[in-house]
Amino acid sequence: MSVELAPFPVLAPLFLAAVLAALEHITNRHRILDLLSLATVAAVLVLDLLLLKRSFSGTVVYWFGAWTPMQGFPVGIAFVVDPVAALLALFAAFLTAMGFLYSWHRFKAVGTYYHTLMLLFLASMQGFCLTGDLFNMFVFFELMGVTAYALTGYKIEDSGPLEGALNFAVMNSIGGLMVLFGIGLLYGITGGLNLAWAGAFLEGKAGGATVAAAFVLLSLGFLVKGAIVPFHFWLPDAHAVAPTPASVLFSGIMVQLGLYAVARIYWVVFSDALDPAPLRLLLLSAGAATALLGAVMALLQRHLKRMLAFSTVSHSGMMLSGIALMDPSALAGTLLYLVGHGAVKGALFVCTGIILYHYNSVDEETLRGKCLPLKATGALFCLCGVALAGLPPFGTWAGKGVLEQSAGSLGYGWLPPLFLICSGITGGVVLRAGGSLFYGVGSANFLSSSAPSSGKYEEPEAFEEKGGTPRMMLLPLVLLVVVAVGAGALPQLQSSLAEGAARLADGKGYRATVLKGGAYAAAALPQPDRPGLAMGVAAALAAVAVAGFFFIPPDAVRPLRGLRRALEGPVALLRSLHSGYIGDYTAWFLAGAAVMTLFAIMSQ
Amino acid sequence: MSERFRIMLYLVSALAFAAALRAAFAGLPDFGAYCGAYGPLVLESMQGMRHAQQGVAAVTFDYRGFDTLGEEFMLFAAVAGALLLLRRQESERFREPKDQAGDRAGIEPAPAVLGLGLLMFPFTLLLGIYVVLHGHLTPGGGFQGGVLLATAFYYVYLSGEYGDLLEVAAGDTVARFEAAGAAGFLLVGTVPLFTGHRYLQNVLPLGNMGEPFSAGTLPLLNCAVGIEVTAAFLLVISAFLRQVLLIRKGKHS
Amino acid sequence: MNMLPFLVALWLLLVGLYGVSATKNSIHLVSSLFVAQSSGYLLLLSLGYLKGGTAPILDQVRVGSRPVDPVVQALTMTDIVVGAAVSALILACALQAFKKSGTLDPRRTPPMRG
Repeated sequence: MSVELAPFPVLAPLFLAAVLAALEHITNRHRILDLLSLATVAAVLVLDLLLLKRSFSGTVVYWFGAWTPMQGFPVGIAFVVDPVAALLALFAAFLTAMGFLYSWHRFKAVGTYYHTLMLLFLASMQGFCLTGDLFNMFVFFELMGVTAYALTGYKIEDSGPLEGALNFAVMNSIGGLMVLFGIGLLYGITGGLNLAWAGAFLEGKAGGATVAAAFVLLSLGFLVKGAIVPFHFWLPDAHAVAPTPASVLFSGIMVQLGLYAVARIYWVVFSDALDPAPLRLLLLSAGAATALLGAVMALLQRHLKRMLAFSTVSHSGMMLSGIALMDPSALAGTLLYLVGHGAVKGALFVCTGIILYHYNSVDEETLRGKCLPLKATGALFCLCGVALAGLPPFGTWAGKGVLEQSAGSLGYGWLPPLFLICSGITGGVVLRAGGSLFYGVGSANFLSSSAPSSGKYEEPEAFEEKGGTPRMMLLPLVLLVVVAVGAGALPQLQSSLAEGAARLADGKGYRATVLKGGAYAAAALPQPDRPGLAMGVAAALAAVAVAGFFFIPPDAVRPLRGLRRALEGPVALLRSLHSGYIGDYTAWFLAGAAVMTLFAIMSQ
Repeated sequence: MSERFRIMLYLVSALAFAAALRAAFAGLPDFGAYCGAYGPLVLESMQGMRHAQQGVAAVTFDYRGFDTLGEEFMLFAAVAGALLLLRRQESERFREPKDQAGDRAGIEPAPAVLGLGLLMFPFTLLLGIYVVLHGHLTPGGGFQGGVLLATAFYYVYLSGEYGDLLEVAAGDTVARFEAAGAAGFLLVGTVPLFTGHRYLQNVLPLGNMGEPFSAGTLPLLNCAVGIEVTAAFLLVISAFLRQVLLIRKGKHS
Repeated sequence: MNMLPFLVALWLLLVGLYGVSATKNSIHLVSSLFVAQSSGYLLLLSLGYLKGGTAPILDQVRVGSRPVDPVVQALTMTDIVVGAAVSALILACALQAFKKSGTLDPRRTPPMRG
């Protein structure tokens, strides 16, 4: 008898979270808590690897409580593990492991449930990836939220984290409420909560306003998590102030899980009930707007973590554009990009964590030229800058390349240039910061030096020790860079993701596997073409050009002064939009929600 | 964004959103005429298969027991998070709880308040235990009973004996109970795995319908949740009280 | 057709979000959010209602009436726990922020903006 592994990636961290909470009061707990949590994450990693391997030979369906469908109706909750679900779970576990390595032995205030919360966060991400039940998805969505709010507010000595956690909690709760409304509508129509059942019920029926509204309401909730314009405001507030390991997880996987959920519910539930053309337009325009706005806002920051957070917004928009094409090969590219971006962004956050550890600041202006001693960190930071833009052979290059190829063949020729601009800018600002911090190049520029959030002095998050950067902080940095390279350099990952995406996009196959049982019959796919090098190199060059532009002395060139005057107004407007006030965010949320719902209902 | 613009933006969007949802609601079954398959299937099968009579408990702890696991840990996470956020900062110190009014030395709860508290405490405690234990038979269950149990301890605070309450909750006993409640639910679910069954499968003897020991694991899971919820609310209440009553700025008095 | 309870749920949602949008006080913010949350409970419960139905506890069902859907009630309970969990965290944040700035007004110049 083979042991069914599916529930254990959730159960193991949940159980250990409870155990660690009970161990909070023992003395000398630092080492024990670190060891136990790392061992748990390692176990989850192995479990996910095994699940991934199994899922390729057939989707794993696990009915909790042995409640298999009764008269064809699923009365229980099922985990449905297909390659994409397993791969995302694996990636989440990997990033959590990197977070724990970074915080090894040094994290302050460890006595107050840091490990417990991180493990709960891991468990919620595992459950969110693996589940095949809509309400179960909502439960893990909220569990992920609750732990994430608490982790965001971790540094209570500052007011930034408290504000960030508050905005994060309110916006995501509103998002959760939208998911709940969507669940209500879908339950009213189909009578079921299982994704496959709901999809099978809707298959072939005329969609109509209620079904369209259910899709949009569900998506709205997940797009808040995915930080899509105009629901993105909470993200920079929260990611910029969270402790480093949490930032790695938030930017590397949590935001993207929101987008994954949109893809999942679209393909499984709605793909055979709704007209895809208007939905494609809706999601594509939201994605493109997000990509642009995020990139522009990243240009305007001097607070390093806030700059990286806006860069996450931009990349999240690019990934939504990829999902919005509603095409298996574009989806495969998006997933590859997700892995590449998560690793690179994680590495960048670890770099800022190291900077924070040494200088108690994450401000580009204060630190200009002060980080010269951090040779290795500086080199890796700049390498990650070009990697973020998509230099071959990083995973960002491969994913974006696949995505651009399919966008071109689907008739969306304007997407590759848009991606080039956004990648160039987001990579360029990292290079700008890297140049000024680690090599002392450039001077206060007219775009970012006026930013109101500076990050000049930040509360330290780790106990300082004598000597250079602790090895246990550099280890996750190196590992993340290695994974980012591996994701792009190994053609196996691309072809497995092509298969995974094809299976995610096969709604009918998914429904049949869950409801009728039996192995998933995978159609043999041709080996996908490797993406070309040209666009990747071009994006990296664009990033260098953007950085170079900021290194020009401000008064050396006359036209710059004109540009500066011309940009003053728009910059002030953009800054005032991101006001940090939750009331504004809510009003923008409802405006976006109204436009999206109305559009979807009228177009169906 | 100016106050006025924000409110206008909100109102216009609210109107549009309401119109959209109004159109969406038109496709729902009429209020009071719901005919989904899920509820009837549960109600028909739970008597025969589980000897259970309380539909909500059967759904919560059996058919959709895995959701409840997540729900219980959500509360667990919220408590851990609240304790993280409400920890004493390095710039703060503990002080003795004392009356804010200068002309009174200590706090003397009025006899009526004290008497009422003494009266309510055992009754609420008993009611809470009853609701937890009969969760699979009558309305209520671990969540509801747990909140009642925590309320019983809240009477201790209300009758002026907050020192006692803080003492109860400050030690690690309550925290251990909370962890045990959360882990208990999870472990009850793993028992069937050792006999080759599925996680959270209800493999215990089912008993006679309507009796306290019936419906298999339902009473056990209810108790685990009851313990977890009681401890969780006690911890949160005492954390907030500690902030208000005991923690002040400044290193040392 | 009768969809009044659904519309009441919508009203609760929009009124609650209005409170969040116009808030000048963090405690008011939490209360408003809870009003909005309650719309979810109402929507779910009224979806599963049956005309003349009774509670889904089988030994108490009157002759001639049918029990209502127990599933939505279980979902509602989960959602109530969500609301409680989130409220506790937001209140904890508000309390600590109050100690920092001496005000509960979230409109004060926030450290994170622009």
